[in-house]
Amino acid sequence: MDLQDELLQQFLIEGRELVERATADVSALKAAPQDRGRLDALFRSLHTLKGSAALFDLPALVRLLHAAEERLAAARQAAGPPPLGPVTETLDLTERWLDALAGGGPSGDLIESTSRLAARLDAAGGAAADEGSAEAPQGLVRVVYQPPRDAYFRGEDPLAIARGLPGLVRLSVAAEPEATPAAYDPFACVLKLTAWCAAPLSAVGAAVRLLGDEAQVVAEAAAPSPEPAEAPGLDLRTLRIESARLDALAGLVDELVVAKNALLHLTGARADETRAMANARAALDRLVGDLHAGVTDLRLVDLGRLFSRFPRQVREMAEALGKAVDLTTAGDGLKLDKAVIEGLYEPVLHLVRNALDHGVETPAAREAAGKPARATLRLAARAQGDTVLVEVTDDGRGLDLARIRQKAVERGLIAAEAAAALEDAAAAELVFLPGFSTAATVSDVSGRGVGMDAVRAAVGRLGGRVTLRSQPGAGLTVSLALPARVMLTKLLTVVAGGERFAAPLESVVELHQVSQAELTEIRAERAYVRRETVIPLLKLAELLGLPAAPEPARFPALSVEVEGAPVGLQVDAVGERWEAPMRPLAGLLADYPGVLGTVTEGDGRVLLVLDLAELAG
Amino acid sequence: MSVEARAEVILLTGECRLEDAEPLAAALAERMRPVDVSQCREAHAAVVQALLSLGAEVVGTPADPFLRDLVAPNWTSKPLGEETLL
Repeated sequence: MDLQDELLQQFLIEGRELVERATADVSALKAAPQDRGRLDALFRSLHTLKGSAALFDLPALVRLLHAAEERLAAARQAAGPPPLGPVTETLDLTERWLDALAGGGPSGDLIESTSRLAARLDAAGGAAADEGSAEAPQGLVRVVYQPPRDAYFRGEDPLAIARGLPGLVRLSVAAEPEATPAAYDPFACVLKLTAWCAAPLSAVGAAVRLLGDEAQVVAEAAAPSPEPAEAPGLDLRTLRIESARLDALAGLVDELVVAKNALLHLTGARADETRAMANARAALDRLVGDLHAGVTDLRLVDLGRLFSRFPRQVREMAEALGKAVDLTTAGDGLKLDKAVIEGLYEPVLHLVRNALDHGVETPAAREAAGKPARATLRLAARAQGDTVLVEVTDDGRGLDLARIRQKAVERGLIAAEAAAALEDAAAAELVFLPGFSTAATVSDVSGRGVGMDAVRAAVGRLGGRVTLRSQPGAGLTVSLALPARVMLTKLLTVVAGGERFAAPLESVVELHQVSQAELTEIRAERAYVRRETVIPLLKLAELLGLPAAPEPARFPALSVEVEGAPVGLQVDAVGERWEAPMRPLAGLLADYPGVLGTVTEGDGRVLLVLDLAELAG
Repeated sequence: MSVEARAEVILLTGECRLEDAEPLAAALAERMRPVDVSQCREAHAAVVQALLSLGAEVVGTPADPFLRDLVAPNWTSKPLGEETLL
């Protein structure tokens, strides 16, 4: 990779971060337009973007960012409302540029859109500047002028230029200090000049026009004030680390946990364990636990990273569908594991598509229903104990349960009588059945052959659950409950069909000892009774396709909950309870039904972790 | 001659141009001495920069209004060791 490539890669990463940050600032400013700190932050992000883009041959993008920055600067000095609409458009286009640069390069269309927006911003800026100079002639104009290092060689005298500024009333001259006079280079320009002028903005602007980017002109309402805090140039409190290196570290710590378990197993089993050994064992246990938690923490990422990907998508989709939608987000600061954030994008995108396509009505239909023409789509996250709830809420028409029942019957997913007998909550669940889709026609937006079943499966792979809350005519909320962090999973070892498996302890409601004598046959299926509840009994070995073993007189059964009702799973034996980091299945096995992942036992054997509810369902 | 290095003081006289920055810096590097600017009519940015960067002690008041009112406060109002060393 040559230097230019490396710089470009850096720009692609930083550019996206800056766009994300700026987008968050725009959202905040929409709610509080007077938030000066946010405005300054937004200004800095645009400025940095412009500076980075200028490193590459992207004149259209640089011009646009410059125009947007100018508009923002003008709004900042006039203390007027910031031009958030155009800034948002600028950020959208910048994101498209980043996409284009990562791919095959910008299209002619993109370049044209960029130039058009820049021209529009310039035109609006000219008008605003004229108004500004007419209204506030008394304010001072501040010029920050940082000549390049070779200014003296180019024959320039920055001080003479400052001297020529119209209405100059104050000048601050700062130079980089040189600690060793012998090493001082008298011909390298290291000056930074700040001048305050009592003159119209346009006059000062004209005086420094030839300086280009070296000088920035900002009007100030009040008398010269101490310089505003500069953006921190190099922030050493945070460090960028390649995620692959972090993953490798996390993998090592996971293995350390396994090795620790093995050691603990050995020493714990010794009858002659001394008190000192027991103490060392406990200390090791605690330290490895802390280390695991620490490394897990490193992988936590702000949910804002996920949410910030949606404003543009929502605008584009709404436009394509002829709908008017405002997007609001909440809980951006909550943190989730990097893998969870990455895994959430697809399902949340699908939910957003669904909401815009099926949930939100057209503006006309909304007005007819007595609702505001603009719909609101809300992406919100909140913590609830160990889980983080991510909710996608629209104020559209809600689920049409009659239509859902009808569709499910048409698709042969359920019998007509059964559909009619379903309670509303259960009918809503029909949308999660594979092969279900309520859209009468396949649309560009959501018709991609992915249904809610895919959403449920994707969220399930992340260890989460999906629930629906529909208010007919008033909207739909889809809640994704996700584990706040990848934790050591509490497991139960079970033996079925002669093989050992692990199951998440939380999925087992109760453990029953069942004897053949208490089994009753109900329509060729077996069941037993516990606390006046009839529990159907399935053989885990059979569900896993393993050969049947001879029936013992007594056997253990794991009681699991399937759609609110208990189901018993017959196993050969139940082993110990332990905890270990579970690895999700990857590659070809990623979608293997009934399996959540793998764990490594203390003795190094790998066990499959079973999704008992899915197997029994 | 615009830069005159004397035993106890360095004198800046008349119009101090870009090429005067070098002898001024050399004189200050040789031995730190106060710089008298009272005879200075004009100063190039490189000369002012040398005074500021090297933290020279500046004495005297130039007659030129620009130097006196707008440039001089930068060295008299900001004594060495505070802002310049940050």
